[in-house]
Amino acid sequence: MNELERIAILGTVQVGLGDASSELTHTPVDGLIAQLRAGPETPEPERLLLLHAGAHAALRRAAALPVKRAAPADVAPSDTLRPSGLRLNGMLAALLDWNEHELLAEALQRMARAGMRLAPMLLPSALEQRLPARRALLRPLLGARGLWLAKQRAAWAWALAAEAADALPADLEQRWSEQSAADRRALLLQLRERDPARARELIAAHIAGENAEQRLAWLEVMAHHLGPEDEPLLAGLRSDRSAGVRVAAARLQWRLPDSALARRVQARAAALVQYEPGRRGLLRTLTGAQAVGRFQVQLPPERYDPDWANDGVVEVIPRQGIGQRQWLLLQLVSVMPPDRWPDAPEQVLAAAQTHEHAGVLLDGLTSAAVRFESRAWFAPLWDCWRQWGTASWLTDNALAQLTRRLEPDAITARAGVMLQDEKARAMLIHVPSPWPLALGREFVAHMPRLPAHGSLFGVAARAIALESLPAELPGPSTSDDVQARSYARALDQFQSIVSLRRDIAQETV
Amino acid sequence: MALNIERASVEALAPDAAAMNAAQKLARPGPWRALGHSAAAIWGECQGSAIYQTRVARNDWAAKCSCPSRKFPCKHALGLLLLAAASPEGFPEASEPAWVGEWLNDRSATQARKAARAKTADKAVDPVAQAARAQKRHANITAGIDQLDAWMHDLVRHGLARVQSESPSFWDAQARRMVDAQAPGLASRIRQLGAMMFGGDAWASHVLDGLGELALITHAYRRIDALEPALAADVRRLVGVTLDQSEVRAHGDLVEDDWHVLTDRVEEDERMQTQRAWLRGRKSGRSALVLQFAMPGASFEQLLIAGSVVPARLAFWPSAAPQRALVAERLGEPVPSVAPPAGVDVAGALDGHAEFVARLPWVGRSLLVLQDVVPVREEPELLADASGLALPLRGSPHDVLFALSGGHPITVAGEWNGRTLSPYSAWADGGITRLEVP
Repeated sequence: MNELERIAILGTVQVGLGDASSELTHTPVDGLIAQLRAGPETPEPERLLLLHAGAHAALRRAAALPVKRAAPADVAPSDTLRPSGLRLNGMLAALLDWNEHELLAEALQRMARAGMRLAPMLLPSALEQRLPARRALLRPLLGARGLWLAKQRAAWAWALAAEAADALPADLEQRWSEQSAADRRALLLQLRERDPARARELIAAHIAGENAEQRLAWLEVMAHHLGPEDEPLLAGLRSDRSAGVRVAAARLQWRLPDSALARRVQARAAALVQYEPGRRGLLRTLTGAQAVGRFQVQLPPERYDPDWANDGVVEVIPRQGIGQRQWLLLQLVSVMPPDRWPDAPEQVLAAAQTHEHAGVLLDGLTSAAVRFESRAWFAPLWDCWRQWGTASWLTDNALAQLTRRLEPDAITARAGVMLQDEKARAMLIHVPSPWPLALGREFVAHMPRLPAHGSLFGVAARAIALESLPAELPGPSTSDDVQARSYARALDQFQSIVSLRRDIAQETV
Repeated sequence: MALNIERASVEALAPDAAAMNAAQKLARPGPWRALGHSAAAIWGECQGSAIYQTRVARNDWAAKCSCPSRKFPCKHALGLLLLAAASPEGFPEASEPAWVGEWLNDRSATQARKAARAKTADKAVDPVAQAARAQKRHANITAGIDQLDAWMHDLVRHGLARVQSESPSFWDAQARRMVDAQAPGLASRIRQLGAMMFGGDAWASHVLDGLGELALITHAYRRIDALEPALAADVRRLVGVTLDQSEVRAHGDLVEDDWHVLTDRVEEDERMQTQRAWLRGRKSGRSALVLQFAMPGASFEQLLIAGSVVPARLAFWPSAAPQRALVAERLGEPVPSVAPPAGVDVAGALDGHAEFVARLPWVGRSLLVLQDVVPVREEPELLADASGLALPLRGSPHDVLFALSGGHPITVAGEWNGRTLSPYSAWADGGITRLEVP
């Protein structure tokens, strides 16, 4: 506090300005005020004080001294990745604030694939993100500048962690014992993808102590990267105290063609189901017609053999509309790897369709194709079910399973068919994302004209817009056919999402 | 004339984030038809619940749409501009349709009528009556400052410690007396003094500074006829005798230049938006502060976007240190410019500010453009130049500034108030970024 302030606070009545009082501030202002005092009209002390204060305030404003400080030597290294541009920055800034997690995730993943990084202006907002999933997506996009910046705040240290969010923890065994059932399953799955043997060892060591539900869940994990090395564990589990576990273990062994169990069950099946390839006689050769094979099927005995349960063939029929013997037949057909049928899939299926037990054969062949991941069979089976006259849960279930497994080329070839009727359109939600461009175009072209009561609006449309459609597609044009307000809004949202995804795709090439 | 619209310019037009979000959904060809542009306008028809005709004037981006929205510009106008920014090829050059041409003609006629009214108003003024009014006001102000001086003397006679316990009505009452004396500028300063009473331990210093500045104003006003005209104009303005915009257009210092918009900060409260846009003439080197006011949700009359260059004629308010100006006439479309403006180091910036204060002791904030500075993490955060001198930043943290710099020298423009620098724009990596002061 200088003398000027002290006098002002206490008051000139108590503290006079004194004679000359020339050094109230020890600045050139003191001299100015001294001149004023010495002038012909000496102002009152209060006036002098106030003028002194005003001039001093102006002087301080004019004569602020800088801080002596050198620029820091720590400089961010050069970045090699390309920064996001102005347009994308605007979209990212909004997405980082919104709850549109899917759109943000897509934008960030595209940036990573395009070898891009976040523009510097977005780095603080990115480093402030709390969700682990977002951090995992953002970390590769921080660039050298982002990592340099992250060192400046403790809250941003996550960006510097050497361990990626999806890396296996170093103390896996320790964590294993402390985690919930769901977390352990997730950890097992993660481990099974990277180190199937280690996952198997962990399962073998701990499965006996889990309840039946967990044991079944762990068997589902074993289905990933299944190999001959897994057979001893699976064979052991066929003695499990839970019937469900025993069946599941057996059915996994079916997938190991050289296992004793697989050979035994397949031999049992072969005794009941034979296929005779078609012969291509002269007439067929001349006309180019395909040879037609034939199935010879003997239904299993009426009485169920309990030993079959040990091999994974169950007695209990899971649904209506199929008899006991047909159910057993279906299971036996499903143990035969489809690639072992001595004809092309189309010919085998043609033969199955004409058999008296066509439904059972098709169902069994579908289950087999899914079980053994017989890719060459998925599209022909899909076509078969698509044409199957009987609309049923069976048909829909088979189509859904097959749709999820169709290759992009197969989907492209069937893009027009998939939009033709309600039955086919219902399968669209099972098409793996992202959709091939041809299907996306068909969908976008058809969407404004789809019936209002169709299942593709609402949540499904949004999910399709967010995840399935290729981002490069232009948005659908507004159609005058869109009358109903109830789905006009859904269409509007659909169009907005498609447009935004397209913009993101354009900016992340 | 080819379209060259920057997305950032359109974003700046939006009255709020909701309007911009809605516009995003319309920034695609799907809903639009009959798109086109001419030298004067951009237009299109948008299919919504009805067909809306949307047009935007290219010289000042005034917009008109047939939709019922009460936001200006509406989402259709913003969407149209966003689409034009992203896909100018979708707007063929064409003759204006009737609904566009009629609107442009109406606008021109309205502007001509306004200009004519302004001239008529000038002519209609009775100089004798005007002089009498000015004389009376001067007498009222003089009486007012006599009372103000007596009131201030009383404060420091008995000590500021006594007023520490006074309620805000103590200051409001004195402010109202100044309003009655037709000196609203003084009234505003007195209200600010009242707020300073709650300024923590340094309250006495702040209040004394404020009283001292008031004393300088009253001291100068009593000698106003002896002051140089420019300084006299400043003193009148500080007291509250302001020139309206038509007088500034007619009598102010007119400067024609390509004006680089350096900052475009907007401050908002529930009643008003205020834009403080600092411009610098590329040829003249003059700095100008353009203040604009608008209701919440409305857009400003002039589109001034940081990072653009606006060919215009500015009219400066008369002043010993001319800063404030208005856009008297636009002479062309704004052009984006990412090149940083020329700046100075810390010593040069402080010298410039000192010279400013020397000419006008009451100046609150002045423009600083600092070149080759690096932010420093301290408390307070600093901007340091290559010579080892630094200025403190107002508020913290300035994380975006640190991110933009990466420890490398950058150019920063902002306002210096004699104690701290508020950074509003930064140029780095070939671009400009608007900064928020925390």
